[in-house]
Amino acid sequence: MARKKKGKPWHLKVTWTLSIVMLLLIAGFFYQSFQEMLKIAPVQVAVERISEPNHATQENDSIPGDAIDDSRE
Amino acid sequence: MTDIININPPSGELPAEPSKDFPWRGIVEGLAWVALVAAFIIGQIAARPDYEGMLKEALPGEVLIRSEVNTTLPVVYRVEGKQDVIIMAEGEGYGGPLIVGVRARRSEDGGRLAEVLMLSHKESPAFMEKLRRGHFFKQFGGKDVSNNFIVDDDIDAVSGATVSSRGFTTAVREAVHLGAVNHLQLKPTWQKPGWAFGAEEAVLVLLFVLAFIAGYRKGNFAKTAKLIVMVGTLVFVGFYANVSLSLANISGIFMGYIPSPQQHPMWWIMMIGVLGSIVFLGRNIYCQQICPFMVVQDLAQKISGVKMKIDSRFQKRARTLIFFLSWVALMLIFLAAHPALGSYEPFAMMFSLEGLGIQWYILPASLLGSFFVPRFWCRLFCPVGLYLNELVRLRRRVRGWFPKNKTREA
Repeated sequence: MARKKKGKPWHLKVTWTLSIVMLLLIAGFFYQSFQEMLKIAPVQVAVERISEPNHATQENDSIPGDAIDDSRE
Repeated sequence: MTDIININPPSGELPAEPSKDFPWRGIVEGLAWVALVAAFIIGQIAARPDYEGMLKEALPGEVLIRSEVNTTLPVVYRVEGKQDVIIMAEGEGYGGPLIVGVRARRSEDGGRLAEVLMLSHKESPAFMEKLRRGHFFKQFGGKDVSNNFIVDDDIDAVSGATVSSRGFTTAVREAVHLGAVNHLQLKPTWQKPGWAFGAEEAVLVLLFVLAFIAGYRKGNFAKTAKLIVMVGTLVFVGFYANVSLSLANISGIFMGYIPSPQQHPMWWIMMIGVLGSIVFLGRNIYCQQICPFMVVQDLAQKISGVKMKIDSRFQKRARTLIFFLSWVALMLIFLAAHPALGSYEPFAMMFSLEGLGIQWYILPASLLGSFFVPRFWCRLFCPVGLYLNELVRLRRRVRGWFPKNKTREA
């Protein structure tokens, strides 16, 4: 009579799956960070610009009444 | 259910020493260290700021004439054909220096803050989103240059990003007041900032004191203290102040990003509390009691009531795995000279509910893991916990060198 092959208990399969998913996500985060790192040139540009509400700069003219340009270059 | 319960290692115990079965371990570790040092050097050389380039890129239509007075930060520029002056200055954020460019403009009654540019920062994206959504930056628009520019005085910090708020405000204050005195010829009428030690810092000190008590005493008082610390750390260290320790903090120290105790006492209280408990008491009090994400994981686990064990092969290699993950993270951090870039922990996002890209998936996945496996994140992925435990182990080893302690241990 063939012996029934004993597999991993179900809860170990669950924890393995969870751990592998986490590892893949962390690897994805590193890839995302690497892409971000390539964007950071030696000369960095403004990520936030605030100007006097009544003296809007060219960049802020398109946002009437809002003193913040949230655009990221 | 009992067959799947196996909390390994139990709470507060150090994970097992690594097995020495890998013959090339020494060579691989040596190469890893060499790569880290090389990444650090390359990152530091590449990250030397080109202030003038930054400003020119941010203000393409202006002709800037650099003042000869200051050659290091703060740097002052006059704008050709205008009465404006642009000053670049630096503040200390939670992840490292923040560099801002401030345009001060003469007005009838003195001077006004005409424009603020954040040129460079090393904060986690979650903190920056918090500031942006909290309308923090809007407060500066059109302010008089004679304002104090002090958090909790004429500037409101955004809760959950207090350190970043203070760092940004400090940089603006330094720049504006320098411009007001040297270039707009105004007399200083503003207040100087004092020590930023307030109620928030007192709460953090109290939490550490209670954590020490809970760790050393027994009985009802210790139980109450433990409960207070658990709730306190979740609410205060987590959701309110969002000052969990992360890989960004540790790597920031290596890169020399150490904030001043006067402006950021909370950072110092956290470091002194965590490292002090290791050096003087030989205990990793942060992971055992102060870490708010540990509380979140325990709550998730309590809700589910399920305690699944991790495959012993995976558990045995967890230490090596975390070292590898943190090595990759540190390589990114050192190369970019940006501590937040490689910090893969979900803490900042958990307590600010702000994040970017894949971070939105890391947090729920780690919470789901904690739902089934006790302290899933701590045991398999947390670099801070591993490093702090390594420090505890190092302390034990150092104590063992002294004959007195050897006899006592024997």
